[in-house]
Amino acid sequence: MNNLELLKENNFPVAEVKFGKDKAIGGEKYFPFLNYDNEKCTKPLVAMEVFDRRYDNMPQALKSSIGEDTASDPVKWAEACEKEYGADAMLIRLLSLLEEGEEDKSLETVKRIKEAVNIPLIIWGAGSRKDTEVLTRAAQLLGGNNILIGPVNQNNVKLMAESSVNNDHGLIIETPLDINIAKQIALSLNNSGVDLNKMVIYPTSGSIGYGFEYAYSISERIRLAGFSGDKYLSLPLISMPGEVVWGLRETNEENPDWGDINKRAYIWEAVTALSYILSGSDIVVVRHPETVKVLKKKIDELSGG
Amino acid sequence: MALSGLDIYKLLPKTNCKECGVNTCMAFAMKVAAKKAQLSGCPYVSEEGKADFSKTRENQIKQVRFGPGSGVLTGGEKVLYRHEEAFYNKPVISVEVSCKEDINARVKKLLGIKLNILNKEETIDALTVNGEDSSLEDFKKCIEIIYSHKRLPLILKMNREDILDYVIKNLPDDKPLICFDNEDINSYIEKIKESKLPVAAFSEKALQLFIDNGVEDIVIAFTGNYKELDSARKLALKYKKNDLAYPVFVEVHDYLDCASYICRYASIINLPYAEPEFLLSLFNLRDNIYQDPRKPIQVEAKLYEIGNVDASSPVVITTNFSLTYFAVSSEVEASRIPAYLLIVDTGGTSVLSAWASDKINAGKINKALKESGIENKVSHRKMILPGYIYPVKEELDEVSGWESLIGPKEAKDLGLYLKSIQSKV
Repeated sequence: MNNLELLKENNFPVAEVKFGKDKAIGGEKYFPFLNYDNEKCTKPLVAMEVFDRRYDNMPQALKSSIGEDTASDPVKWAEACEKEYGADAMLIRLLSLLEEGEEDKSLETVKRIKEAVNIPLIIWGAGSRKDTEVLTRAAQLLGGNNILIGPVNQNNVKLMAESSVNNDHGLIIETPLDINIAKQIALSLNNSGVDLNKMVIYPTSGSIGYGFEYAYSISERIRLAGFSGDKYLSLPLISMPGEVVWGLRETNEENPDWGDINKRAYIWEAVTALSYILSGSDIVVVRHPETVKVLKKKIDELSGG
Repeated sequence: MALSGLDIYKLLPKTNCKECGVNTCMAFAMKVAAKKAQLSGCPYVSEEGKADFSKTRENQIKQVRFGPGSGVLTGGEKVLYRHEEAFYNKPVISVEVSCKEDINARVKKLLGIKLNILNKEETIDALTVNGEDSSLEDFKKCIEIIYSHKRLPLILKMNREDILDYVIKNLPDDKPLICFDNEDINSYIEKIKESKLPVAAFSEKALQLFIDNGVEDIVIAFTGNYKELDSARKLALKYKKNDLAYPVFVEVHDYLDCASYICRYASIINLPYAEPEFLLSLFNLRDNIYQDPRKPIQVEAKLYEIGNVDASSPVVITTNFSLTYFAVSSEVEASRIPAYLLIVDTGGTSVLSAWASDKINAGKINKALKESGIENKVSHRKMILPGYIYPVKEELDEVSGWESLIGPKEAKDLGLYLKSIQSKV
């Protein structure tokens, strides 16, 4: 057997999850860019995130790129992400829910963003008490369209399952770097009527320099378990460097030893994001436009043009 | 597949003679399986047994050392995924300079890059000197200039015999990595072998020549892409292709390529230029990927300062589990409120685990508090506890003389919490 034949593996493929009008994620049998069956690689998606309200305390490097003005208007911001920055998908983070009484306004914003962009959507909670309520209402509002909604955790499995079944959307399972919890939630959702091809796993992301390696290895382990046949782990993966890199010294502080912050900051996000892709992420969610640009170019190169 | 203790036991005489230094053959077999002893410790294993055993042993990438003094160690890897065991030798990051240019200012700048990564100072590990088609004079001058700044590991690219001779004669103690890319490699093989210097093989032909002639320290000069390097590593480790089990030297164009090769599987990475803007990320990524996953994931238990602290800065208490430390410290950083972070030694367990196993309690927190010297640093006597351990407040306040504030249960709420107490001051 020649060497290339040896490298082919009989891996169980990752579930294929519809996303947006005509995209899909998952379906692969190898880690990104390492398809030894020599079929065309599905390219990982580079998504950008916006909030359902203005970006307060925007880091300098993002200000100088997106601009405070754009980032104070969620719809303008979302439009820029699609039309100017080339995002493959959009995550809307419902940060306004951290304050009381913002549910209706949040939903209104989500609706307006949905009307303004054509790329696939992810609606993501803020860790507030109102998350599940608003997420399920958003699902109802946006109906079909293969949007992804999350996080699903051990506390809201039933309600999110119901929403997915009734409104036909995908779900993103959040696990605190614990493979068993991911499996349990997937099993629970499945038992509540959600098909496996409607689930994505978010293992929780850490920035490089701040516990990155845990998330990296958990992703690789989930992938490998899926490839060897564990169907509850054979689900697409999503990572969110944009959520974790923008509060650090390295992306916010001026420091003569560290060079120009406007370059250094997006590079930090890009290196984190690319490394997550290599560990198996089917979607990475980022904030800086330059990150999107350099990642998409590199993904094209790594996919063989 | 490595042999289990039982499989190894079958190769042993089962006499419990103790000549291996262990009481029973079974115990010795277990030790060998756990890699805590060598099979050769038993004088009674048959030749056949020894052969069977070595067939199943994991393959390993050769380890090659280059550079002056203890130099840098590359290769030595045994697994494809860091969680299977660990990745051992961090990829060496080198930057290329050309003999045809005036490099003094450039070398000074490159070697001056010092970055503080996870409490250690890191710099560029090596320089790649491109002496291809350059004169011997220019080459010598180049080395002199570099050494006038720092005597560091060098990777020497050359294609002319006079430069090869010069290096072998004058720099043997510095053990540079020789990259002699010459079609006629056959004529130089004796010289190269006798020099005992580490060499890079630029073709399959050169590699085979080095192996056949007993050259020990070989590095493969890799010209493929990310997928091809993955194939080479898989073939070497999983499919035991020994002629691929050597450290790999990769030349990249940009920092994202460098990042991809840090994740999978380069031993030495050559950059055409370097700036702190991207080295900062690459050094952090490298440290993370090459962190041994089996080491207890804890940080040093001590008082940390986050931001420009002063006598009024809040004092936050938590455990020395790495993830806890990272979560809490990054939240404090993101809040932009300077604070002291007092890390209590709980043996690397999280807040809840520590609480459940009494690894964190009033006595331990008080001890850490008094020993940290925080009382000389802040004028107030308020500390913020992780929300989950609120029951400890009464006893802790009494024994310490401080007032504990009950902080949030989740690190992600710490930023808002710190802002809210600040506004009350």
